[in-house]
Amino acid sequence: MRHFVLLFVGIGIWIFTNSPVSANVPLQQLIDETPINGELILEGKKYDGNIKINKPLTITGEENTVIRGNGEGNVITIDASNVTLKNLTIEHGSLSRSSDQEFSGIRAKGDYHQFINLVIHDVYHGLFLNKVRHAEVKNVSVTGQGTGKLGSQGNGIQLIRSSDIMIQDSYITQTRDGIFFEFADQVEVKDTLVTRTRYGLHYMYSNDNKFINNHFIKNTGGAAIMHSQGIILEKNQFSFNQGSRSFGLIIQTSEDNIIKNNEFYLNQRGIYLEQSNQNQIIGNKFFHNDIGIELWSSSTNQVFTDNHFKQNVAHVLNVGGEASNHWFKNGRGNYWGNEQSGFDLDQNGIGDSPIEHKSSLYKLIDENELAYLFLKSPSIGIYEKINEVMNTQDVMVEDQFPLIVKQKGRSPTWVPMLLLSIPILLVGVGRFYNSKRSR
Amino acid sequence: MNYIWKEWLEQSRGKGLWLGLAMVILTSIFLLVEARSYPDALGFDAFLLSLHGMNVYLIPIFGLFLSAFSIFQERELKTSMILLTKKESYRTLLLKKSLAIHCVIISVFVVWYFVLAIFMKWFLQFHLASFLFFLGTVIALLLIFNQIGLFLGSICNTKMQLIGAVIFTWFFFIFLIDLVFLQYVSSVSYENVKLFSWLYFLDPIHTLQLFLETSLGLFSLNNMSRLMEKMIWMQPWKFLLIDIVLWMVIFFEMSILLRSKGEKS
Repeated sequence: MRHFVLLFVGIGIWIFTNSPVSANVPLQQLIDETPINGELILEGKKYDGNIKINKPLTITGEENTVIRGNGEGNVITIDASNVTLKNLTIEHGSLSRSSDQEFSGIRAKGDYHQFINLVIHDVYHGLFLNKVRHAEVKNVSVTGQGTGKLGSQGNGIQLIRSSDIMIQDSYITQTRDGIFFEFADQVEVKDTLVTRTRYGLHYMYSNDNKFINNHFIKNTGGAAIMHSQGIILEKNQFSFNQGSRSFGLIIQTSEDNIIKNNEFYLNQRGIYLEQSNQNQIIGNKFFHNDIGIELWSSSTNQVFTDNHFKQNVAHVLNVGGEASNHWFKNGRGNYWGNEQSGFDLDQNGIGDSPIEHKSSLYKLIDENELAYLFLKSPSIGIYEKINEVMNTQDVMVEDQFPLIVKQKGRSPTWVPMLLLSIPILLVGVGRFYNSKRSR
Repeated sequence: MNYIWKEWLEQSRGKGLWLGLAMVILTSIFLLVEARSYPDALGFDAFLLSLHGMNVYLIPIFGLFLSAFSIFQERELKTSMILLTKKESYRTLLLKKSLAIHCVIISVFVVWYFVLAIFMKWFLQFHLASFLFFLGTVIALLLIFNQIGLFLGSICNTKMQLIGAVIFTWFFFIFLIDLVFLQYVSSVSYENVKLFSWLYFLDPIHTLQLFLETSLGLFSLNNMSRLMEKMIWMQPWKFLLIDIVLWMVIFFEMSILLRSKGEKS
């Protein structure tokens, strides 16, 4: 009998501790009542914020759980370690800029936090980690204020003086900067999409971080790496970053970074390098950019190997004077597209003669920002030709070992064949129609 | 309506329209095949941009040739003279002719792009709004260059003259203007950028490029430098509207004012 009583009491306690709490009780009270390291499960309802968490705990939402701030201050303030937030929508933080701090959806201090499956919107900054170590940010979606002046927008995720952070599977849009780093080291960002922001990644005084398989699409600037070193950017995509002086990736005053196997499509400038040294740019694809790589003379000793350049208006422009950079290493240069590849009679995949890429566009770029407006102009080709004839072009690249793409035999696919049949059909119908009418 | 039907019969019996359309179709196909090699999320926008890049070369010259020869033929075959005797002034004749040419040529191109849209939907991540913006650029290009073609057809006396004028006009708009701009771009400063902006955006080729890029969400008008903010001081669609109205009205009126003397007599 005693065993049965104990069993029922145990089941009762289990049900009581795990059942969703009522939304009628203030959320702050529920948090205060939750024991240290306990779990608070919230119903799929709207709870009023703002809330403060000052002890280790887990808050888990059911489907459609919303924590709505009162529009003043941070919606959730964390001043403890070991806090986990899961399955929540967080909204309506303060957008005020006249206070002593910029407010956020979540503002956290402490270590060992987890932020999983969160949707954050209608806030200034999305997630602000200040002096945080060992945190995981997974599947977090931040939507900013969108249009308007730059000052009225906050950042998606802001990391200040933090380290050992993992950000993955997240989505950030319409914020000022997607992820903002300042003095944040040993951070890894992967599988994240940042779109429609000023800079997808804005990065200062932060070292030894990794960015793998992220997509920076349709931002004014894809990623801005400044005053940092030891960064690895691998398998990311920087695409459609167009606008006033836009770029896929800017590396400024930074050194010893590795930019490997990334894709740069349809940017105004694929990579923009300024006052940076000893960066390795390896195996990247530069397709359909206005300028593949814009290299200012203040940048030296970069190594460029195994990169593919295809259909850029200018593959490479050196602006501001000559600089010493290396366009090959260990007998391997870069792929410069079919039009410039030359011969490879010994079929070793390396061109038989060096490639020299010349251009005169660097002068225009150097002189006035508005020159970028003309890079897509049909007359740019003629302008280059005129300068070639007048011998006023400068050498942008000397690649001693240009790589050759081996052409594989291609069979015509059915798609172009099918499409080609349309004009033929059209002409046929036209002729039939005409002959019928002439009769 | 009669004018439109007459124009359709003339254009459809001639080879010019079909030749022009066939070239546009062929280039569209090759660009579509190329766009399939882009990453899925980018393919459609990239395709529209490539298509627009190609249209900037092809559509002006077809618009110029087709409309210029259409009005020239009216004069050469004396049909315009017959029409003018029927209580028709040259202004109303030109107005009806312009409407007919615009209707026929634009319809043919629009129909083709809707056919192409089926293939776009098939092979790429189709987005209707983006497609309609692109279609808007095609229509704007045709409206402006058809009207310029009508002007050239009205003022030239011989076919050789007309061919020369059409090619020069095409070369002027596509290449020459920008070569002149490139000579002076370095002297543009914050103080005189507004004047430069007016000159730059009066060129429909420039305006259409910016209109398309901003409409597709590729070129952001946020976060611009001060110089660029002063350069793009109005929404691109407003610049485009000004261009369409201005160029069409100017060349329509000039066609009446400067029509060849033989015709006037």
